[in-house]
Amino acid sequence: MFNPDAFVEALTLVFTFKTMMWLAIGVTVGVGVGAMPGLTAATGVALMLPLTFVMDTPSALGLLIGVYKGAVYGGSISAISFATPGTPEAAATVYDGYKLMRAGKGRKALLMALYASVTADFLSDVITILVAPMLAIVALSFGPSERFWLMLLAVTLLGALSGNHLAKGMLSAALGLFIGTIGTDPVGAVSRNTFGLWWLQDGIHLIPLVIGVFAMGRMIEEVAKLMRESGTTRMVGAAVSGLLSKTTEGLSLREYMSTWKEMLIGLGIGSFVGMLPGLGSTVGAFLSYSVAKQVSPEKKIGTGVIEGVAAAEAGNNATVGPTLVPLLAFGIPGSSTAALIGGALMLQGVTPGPRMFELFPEVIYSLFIILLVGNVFNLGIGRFFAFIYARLGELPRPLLIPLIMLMAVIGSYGFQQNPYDVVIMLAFGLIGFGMRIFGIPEAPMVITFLITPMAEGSIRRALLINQGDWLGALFHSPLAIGLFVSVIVLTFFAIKLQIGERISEMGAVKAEEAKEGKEAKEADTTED
Amino acid sequence: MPGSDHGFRRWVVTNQGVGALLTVILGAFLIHLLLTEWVHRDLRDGFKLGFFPVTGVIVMMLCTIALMFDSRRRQITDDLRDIEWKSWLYCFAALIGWYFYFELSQLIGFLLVTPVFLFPLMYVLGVRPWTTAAASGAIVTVIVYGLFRMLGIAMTQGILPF
Repeated sequence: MFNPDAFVEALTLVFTFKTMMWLAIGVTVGVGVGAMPGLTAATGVALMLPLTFVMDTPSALGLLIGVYKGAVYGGSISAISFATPGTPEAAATVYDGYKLMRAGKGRKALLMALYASVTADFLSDVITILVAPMLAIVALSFGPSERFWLMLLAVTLLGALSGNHLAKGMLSAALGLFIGTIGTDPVGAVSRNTFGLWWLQDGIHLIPLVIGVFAMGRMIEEVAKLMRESGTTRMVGAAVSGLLSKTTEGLSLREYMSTWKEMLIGLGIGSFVGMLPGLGSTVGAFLSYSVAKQVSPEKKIGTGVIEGVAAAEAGNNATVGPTLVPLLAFGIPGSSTAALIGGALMLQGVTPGPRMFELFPEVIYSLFIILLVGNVFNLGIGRFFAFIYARLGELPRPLLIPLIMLMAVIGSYGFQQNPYDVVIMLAFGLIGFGMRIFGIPEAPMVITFLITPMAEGSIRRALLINQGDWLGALFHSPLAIGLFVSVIVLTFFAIKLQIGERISEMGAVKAEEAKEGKEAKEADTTED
Repeated sequence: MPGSDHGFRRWVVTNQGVGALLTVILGAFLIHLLLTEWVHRDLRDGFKLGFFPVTGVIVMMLCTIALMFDSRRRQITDDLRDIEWKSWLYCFAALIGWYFYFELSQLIGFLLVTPVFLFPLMYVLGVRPWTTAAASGAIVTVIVYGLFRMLGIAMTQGILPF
């Protein structure tokens, strides 16, 4: 399956000044986004998505993957500096990271976070490069019935594992299904579900939807918080200045090597979790942290040791590459950010899925090379600027919120100069805000929205092949029956065992511990 | 359902309360959907045009009904517990404000409208003194304009020639 010509072409496409520049910009922006509490990797990628419309494919991938990698690592910076995780996936880093910070070893903790992130990210990218093509070969043998059930299985997984309440996860997925049908039907192109509005006949595009949900919705929430908290004094760590000093204790090679076991745990768990739709890097970080704590009780993880930072950071960054595996192998995004990267590929005229390996091998190779090279940029930018990024947590939110909102409005208009896209973006901003305050996860909605046309196309093709016989269309082969049984079994266990709730509870316990650490910090600050 | 006004206010933000509200809205929407002509239209391949949209609404309704009766029906999310009605007001005000901003920037132009819009917004959000808010609004405008122009992404022009 390896195509040497396409690989050489990919090398020439990636190693250009332009692609490298966008990759560097992506990582720089990403680390900044991650370091600022309230902004997530998905917000950063959603805001950058409209910019990719005017770029070539490698530059677009460089920018988005750079933002993604940078943001997942960047979350650790404010987690360690202020006990305020910049992104949810960095919450597990707070406990040991902030204790190290309070012990005057903030620099050591930041470097450990960086090295563990980059090591696990790099190795998980290698796993991605090995696993995705193999799964794609399997996926190519799937017919429309199997594809339909596979998508349903992915949606069920997303609903069951995203968030902490099965009904809310499934509600989000069903909303995505409904929104995905607005416009025209994917087979006959007949107009439907447009509420009588002519401008909805083209359907809802991914860009205004994701910008609305991930950027505008979150900023509205921030506005509401800011208005509620007005008058309160922000306490940002004066201790951060200590990080800038070269005299502060750094990380030795021996110390880095001593955390190999935790990084390996993070790599294994993160890679596995990343490949499963619906779990994501937050779960990867918490699972890795908990397992490392149990495996090595003698290391006293949780008391402020670098092993705790290594386990959490390796666990979250190891999900970055593998989260693209379902997208590349089956055309089904495993996370919101993977959905956004899939959307960017579609904007470039490349449909993600197993056929991509045959039709656009140079894009696949470019993506793989960018995944690997992105780690070098992450290491360089993180190494030299992490201590400056720590200052970003102090950036006044009243300045940041209008900037992001403005980018959201202009970005959703700029991508096809359609004023109605701004209206759609604002509407999804409201929906996103409502979903967040009611605890409905956004990922199932966005991913189901993307795969609905494919699922409908698959089942209708299956019906055509089976001349309108539903039973034949749905249960065409033993594999289709197996996938159907998997959906039923998964739904049963999701209801019975409340898997998502258990995972979230585990995260909540750690978050509570992190909160206690932060409260201790605030008490210290008050005393000072 | 609790009888007092206070009890009702508390109930309406529980999973059960929100689930009930959404079930009523979705139920009304489902009826509306089933009464429209296109939902029942047969396509050339024998498929009903409304099959997937109706399935989406029905699954949403099943989920909202589940919210009303499952073991976590009395739970209130932290955000919903903390949120005040004023927050919804801010939310709508922000959305309407940005809508009018966009309409005006189409009419007058990005470079003229943006700093004028950002200045009061930043001031309301807490940027002080007002000169900093005004200067920040202008700087943000120039940065965003420069970035999008550099990339060749179209922006609202209005009366301006650029």
